[in-house]
Amino acid sequence: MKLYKIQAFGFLAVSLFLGAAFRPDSRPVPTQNTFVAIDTVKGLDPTTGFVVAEGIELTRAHCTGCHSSTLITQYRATREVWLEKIRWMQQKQNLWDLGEAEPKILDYLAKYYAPTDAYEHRQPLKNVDWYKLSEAKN
Amino acid sequence: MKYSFHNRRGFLKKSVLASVTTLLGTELVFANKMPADYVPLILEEGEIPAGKHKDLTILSDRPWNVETPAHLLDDIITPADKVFIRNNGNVPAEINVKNWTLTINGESAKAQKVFTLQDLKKNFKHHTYQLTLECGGNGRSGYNPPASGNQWNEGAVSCAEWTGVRLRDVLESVGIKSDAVYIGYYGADTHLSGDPKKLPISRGVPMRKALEDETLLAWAMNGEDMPLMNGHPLRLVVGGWPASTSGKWLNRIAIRNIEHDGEKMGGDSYRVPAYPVEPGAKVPDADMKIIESMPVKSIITYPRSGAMLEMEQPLAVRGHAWAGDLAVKEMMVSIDFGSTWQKCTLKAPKNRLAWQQWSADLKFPQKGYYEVWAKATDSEGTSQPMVIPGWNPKGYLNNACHRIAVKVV
Repeated sequence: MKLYKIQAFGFLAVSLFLGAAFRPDSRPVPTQNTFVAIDTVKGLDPTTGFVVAEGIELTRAHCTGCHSSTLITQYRATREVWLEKIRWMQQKQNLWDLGEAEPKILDYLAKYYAPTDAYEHRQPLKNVDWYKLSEAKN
Repeated sequence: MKYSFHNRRGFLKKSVLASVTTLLGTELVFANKMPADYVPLILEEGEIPAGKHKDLTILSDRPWNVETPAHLLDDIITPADKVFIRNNGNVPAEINVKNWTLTINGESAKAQKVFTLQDLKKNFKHHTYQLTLECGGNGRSGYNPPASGNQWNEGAVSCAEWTGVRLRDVLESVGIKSDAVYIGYYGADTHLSGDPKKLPISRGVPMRKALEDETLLAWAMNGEDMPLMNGHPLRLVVGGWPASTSGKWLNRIAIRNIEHDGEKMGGDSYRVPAYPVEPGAKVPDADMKIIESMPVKSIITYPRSGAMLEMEQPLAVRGHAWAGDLAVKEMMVSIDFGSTWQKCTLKAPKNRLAWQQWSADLKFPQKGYYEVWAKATDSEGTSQPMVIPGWNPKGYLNNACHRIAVKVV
């Protein structure tokens, strides 16, 4: 699965960056309001849920100023449609000019939050949490 | 009264490996473009707002958008802690109930008048109705290509018992000119960008809907002050229409001589193509029309999806059905993917625009995997589609049959 590759890469990159500073019980300390913390299980940044990969910092800095990161992580779109969303926010919602960050943010969004192509007439029900009805409380 | 609802706790419960301060050029890029009073909320962690059930699903915490899983909507009257939250902006930082006022004005108001909450409560007759409020985007997650916005499943719907005064009585006390077309509401919520000149949302309804018996200026939900997240101390309640027409933290209503042109009345917001379009189509603004009544829909509230039962065990399923401005006249369930349908017992609504209760006893022919599908038909003979209905740019009005998984073991 794609996610595992991302996880391995993100984990490796950050581990290398930290080098000797790594301590298993260390707690992240925010400095200048920014840091990256890695959820070792999913390869996602626990503060935002963003895929930890190149572009996460810019995306977080520019896109979570006004709204929750989940407005991004819930959604999937092509690069073109992500750009439309940025333009709409600039026209209607006071989003600032992203400058040189814009193509980098678009690269990130288009890569990790791209549409899935699977679409079925009747999708299988997902994430069914099976339980014995006779033992259920409600 | 002052509320504090943003829980901005320092850090996370999840185990974390390490931290890095990086950013390199990033800080420079955004530091000079951010509003001066803006504080980054990088450390914010989403938690269910005070007074809401812990098993609700948070879709977004800025703004707050929280849905109720279908099995938690089993009550006939939705309890306050299970009423979904759909916010477009930030909740007002301070609510002063004592000094709260509602202004009625606008081109088609014969006067401008200001009412305190006490004025409304003392001077007008009180009415109580059970009213179905459903977000226009409920079910958005079913559309492909995906539509932007919160990816609601089935749970952006509620039917609480609302108490207030009729909007009609208040508007008529002010005087409505004959050229009145629409009302537009204004609330105390603030724009996400922090810009005080921008409004997060200001929508409305045509006069014919505004003047209906059931359209309320409400202060109470289920006999108590409504939760802050649902509009305390005063909101509009416009049953059967997209819940975005039921303005929250209400402080002004304009009687307009044009179709209201407030925030989120135009473009793709709460509008759908005037004709069917292919999935992913670009639709010109001029071809979009405002959503009015919500379509016929139903949910299965018992059992929760995933129930495993023994062969001999009968299964009594139940739920609610509603149909916007209309009533539901028939309710069916299927356990064979829509090949055959079984008629359900269906109750009449408590009042117009309240959801209706349905139930059926199911027997399964053999062991195996089943889906229970639920399908309502409205008083004009229109039924829910079994698959996703016509695509629209913002993914509104998905009223496809609700399904749950059941295994007979």
